[in-house]
Amino acid sequence: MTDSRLDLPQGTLDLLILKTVALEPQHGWAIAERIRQVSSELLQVQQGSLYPALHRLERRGWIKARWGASDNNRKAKFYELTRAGKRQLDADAANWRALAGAVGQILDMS
Amino acid sequence: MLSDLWYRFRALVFGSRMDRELDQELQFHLEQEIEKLRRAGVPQADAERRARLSLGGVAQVAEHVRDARGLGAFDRLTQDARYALRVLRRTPAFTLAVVLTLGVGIGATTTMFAVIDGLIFRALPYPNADRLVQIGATFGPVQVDSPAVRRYLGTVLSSISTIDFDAIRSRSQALEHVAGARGVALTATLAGEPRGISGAAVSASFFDLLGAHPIHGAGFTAAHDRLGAEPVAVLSYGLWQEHFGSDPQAVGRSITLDQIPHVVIGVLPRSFRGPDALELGEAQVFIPIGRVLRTETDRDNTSVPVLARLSAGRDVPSALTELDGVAASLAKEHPGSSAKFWVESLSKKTIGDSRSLWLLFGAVCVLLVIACANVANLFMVRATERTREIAVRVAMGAGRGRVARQLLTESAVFGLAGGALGLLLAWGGVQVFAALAPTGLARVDNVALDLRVFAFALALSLIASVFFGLAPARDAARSDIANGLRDAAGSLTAGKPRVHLRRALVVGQTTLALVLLVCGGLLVNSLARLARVELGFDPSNVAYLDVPLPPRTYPAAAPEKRTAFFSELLSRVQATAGVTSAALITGRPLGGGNFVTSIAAEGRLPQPGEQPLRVPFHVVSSRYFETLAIPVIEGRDFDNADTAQAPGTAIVSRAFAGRLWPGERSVVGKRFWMGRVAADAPLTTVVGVVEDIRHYRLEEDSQPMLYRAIAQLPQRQSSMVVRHQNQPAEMLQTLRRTTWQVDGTVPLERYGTMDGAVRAALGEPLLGAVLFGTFSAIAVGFACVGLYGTLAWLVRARRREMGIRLALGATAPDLVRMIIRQGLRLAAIGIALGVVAAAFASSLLSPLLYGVGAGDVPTFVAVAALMVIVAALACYLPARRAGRVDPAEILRDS
Repeated sequence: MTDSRLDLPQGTLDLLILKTVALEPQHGWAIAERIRQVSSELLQVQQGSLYPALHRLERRGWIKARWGASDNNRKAKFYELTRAGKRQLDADAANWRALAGAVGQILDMS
Repeated sequence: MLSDLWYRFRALVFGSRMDRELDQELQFHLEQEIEKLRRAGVPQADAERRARLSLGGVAQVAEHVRDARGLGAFDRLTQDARYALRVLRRTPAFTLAVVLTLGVGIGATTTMFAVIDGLIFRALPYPNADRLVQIGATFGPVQVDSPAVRRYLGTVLSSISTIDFDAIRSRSQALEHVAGARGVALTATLAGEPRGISGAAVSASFFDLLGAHPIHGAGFTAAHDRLGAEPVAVLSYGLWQEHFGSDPQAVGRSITLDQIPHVVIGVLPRSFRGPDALELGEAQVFIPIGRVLRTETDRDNTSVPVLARLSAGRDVPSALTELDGVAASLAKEHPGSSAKFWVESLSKKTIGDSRSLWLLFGAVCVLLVIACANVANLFMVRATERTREIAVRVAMGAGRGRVARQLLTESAVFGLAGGALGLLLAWGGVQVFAALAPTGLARVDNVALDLRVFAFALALSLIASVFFGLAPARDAARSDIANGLRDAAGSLTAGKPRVHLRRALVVGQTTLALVLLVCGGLLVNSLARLARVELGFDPSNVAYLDVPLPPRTYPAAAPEKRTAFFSELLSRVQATAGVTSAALITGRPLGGGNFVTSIAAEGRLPQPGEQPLRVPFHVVSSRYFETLAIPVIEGRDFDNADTAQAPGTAIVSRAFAGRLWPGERSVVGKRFWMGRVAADAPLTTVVGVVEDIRHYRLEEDSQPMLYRAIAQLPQRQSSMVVRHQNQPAEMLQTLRRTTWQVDGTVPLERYGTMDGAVRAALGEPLLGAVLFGTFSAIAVGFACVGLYGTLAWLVRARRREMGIRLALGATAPDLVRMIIRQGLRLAAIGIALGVVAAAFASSLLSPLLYGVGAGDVPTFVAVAALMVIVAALACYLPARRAGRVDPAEILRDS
């Protein structure tokens, strides 16, 4: 199970979190779960880095937090994207695609 | 950016709530994880374990989140500070020792900073103060060594003539503002009573020059500043508050000065204070100088003290060069006149000789260094005791940097506690200084604890805590865990390199303490000599009262009114019970001014180009010498024969006789020119010779002096001196009442006892000796504590060695001697270095010394001997403990 996991390049976690909460407000655990599921279990977010990242993003004003009720009706802290976060996500996503495309082209050289 | 600030703000203010929320959040996460695992069929216990494992420890995550908040550093600081406070409480004796030592060091330094700040840094509270200069006249030869250094070999006066004043105003380029400013004693009628107040007659440009903007009304204009103008006045804030009840409508009201109503046209701000260099610091009311100046025809007759501002880019030498040219052309325009000008920066003039203050400041800085060395010593002892604690913390995973930072935080907490105590002590110190300060020190009310002083104390505490905290912190950062855990209680090897550092600290402390003690000793020695100085007169049981007659009622044109007043006053006072004798003098000893006159012995007119001798002179009544018990060497006192109509007679001092008629056995009957030295001028005859006295300063050697009879030169301002057998306070009261019986309009403000005047003259040396003595005593105390502490620590660290020595046959007295020898060796090195350093330091002191040389051998020897004795005492106590070591116990312990 551990062998198939990928290490996240520096800074990618922020992008993944922003994208995940862009769809709908999520709490921390659900964000990690969503990333794991969507990436077909390839990307496993280290819990130890998830919460610092969430607080870092909140400090930068890209996401904001509020307390709400979870699916099983427990009190949970939900994070949602702010307008600044949306801009950041768009810029980061474009950067990432460009970078990935460029790296891909180089690797596809024959 | 804003969100960042908001986040940090919330974190700072609601830190604990955010922590709680974080805990909840992480708890929720954990539960979700467990739930998920359980649904996948994992048993509850296993699910909990795996969930915890995947989260990686709630505490660590929380710590990381806190770091991400950007508040980690702050959190750590408060955590460290809280820890430090716990340590502080846990070891009260150590805390007390450190805080007291630091408090005294910081307190002394802060006090002296407050003094220097008030007396020097804030001495000239005017814009562009560095460009303000004072101008005066000089007569006689001037020696110019360089553009900046001139020696005035002739007479130097602090005022110039009105002719020169006008000329400088209109001709100088180097000076952009030129104002006359003369202190005047005025009689103000306040609430119907005459009261003498200090005032200043100033030019219209005076307030602009000093950047003073009246808070109500305005300053003078050129229209006010001329003869015959309507009389107007500008009030100081104090006078306005006191006598106009801070009435904003005071402008336009009237104040009676010298019996003339003056219209108030302005009120100065509270912060304004006239320049002390021109003796205007106490001025309470300002009047235009143009109204009171006589137009002089003689350009050598000086009457206007001048204040000016250098134009931008000009300096004192260039102004001097320009004024030399002005003086040269004025001398041509006014043949026979000879006045030249001097220019001096006002800051130099005001602050004057600040040497003693700076030396005192230096002394307290040295004291602080000694105190810090002591505290560093204490900290090092404790660091060795805490080696184990620190090793444990490092082993438990605390970073070395973190441990070092925590130790530094600890020393900062100690430093701040010491600083707080220091501020408290400085508050007291400033009161003591104000109480001890000589009365002449006008700016002493500038000395106060304000924000600047507070900031200084804060900075000092932090700098000091870095100084004494650095060595232990560095040690901690480097320490070897294994060793630290093994050498629990500081065995033989523990902290070996520190032994050298500690010895160096002790030697350094002794050196510095000796330097301070030598300086203190020299000053005390000098003070003792000054206090025993042969005054030449007997000040005990003599009262004085300055009697300034108002010029309006006693004009120069009617000298007989003055004569009548003073002879009536004298006869009444002499008739008073308990009065032995009473007399008058212009410019009483140790407190009054003096007249200066040119003189030449009969038949010896100065050669062309040669300047006549100028000597101070005083106008006295008969029985003056009897009243002050000044011995009459030959001839007689003034008597009824010396009337205004009789030929001029004089009594001269021994130095005067020796100077004018060297080698003559008797000078009574000799004649000399006085004032106008010319063949056709009238001559004055010597009728008596009296002993030299210390008339102006205690330190001064006798100089030629001349006395004239008041009956021949009636005076408006005079001091009455009275020898009596009454209570001093009662006598002064009686004197004032008697004076007012003769004329109720005379303002009587200055009076006291001659003894008091002598004490006041001793004020400044006394202040220096007391402060220096106190500081050096504290320094010696600190050095001894340092010596004691280091030896005590060495004895403890070497207990095992001592035990072995005893077991091998050494006796207890051997060990005591060994320890004392070691301690004294350190002290001896310190004393030897100290003597060399003190020889340099004391040369800085030499201008302040009277009767002792800076290298006074007895003082050096006495101080060194004293130091040896106290060092021996400091060594004896720990040494005795070494002698009590029980070898069996020691060997058993190890």
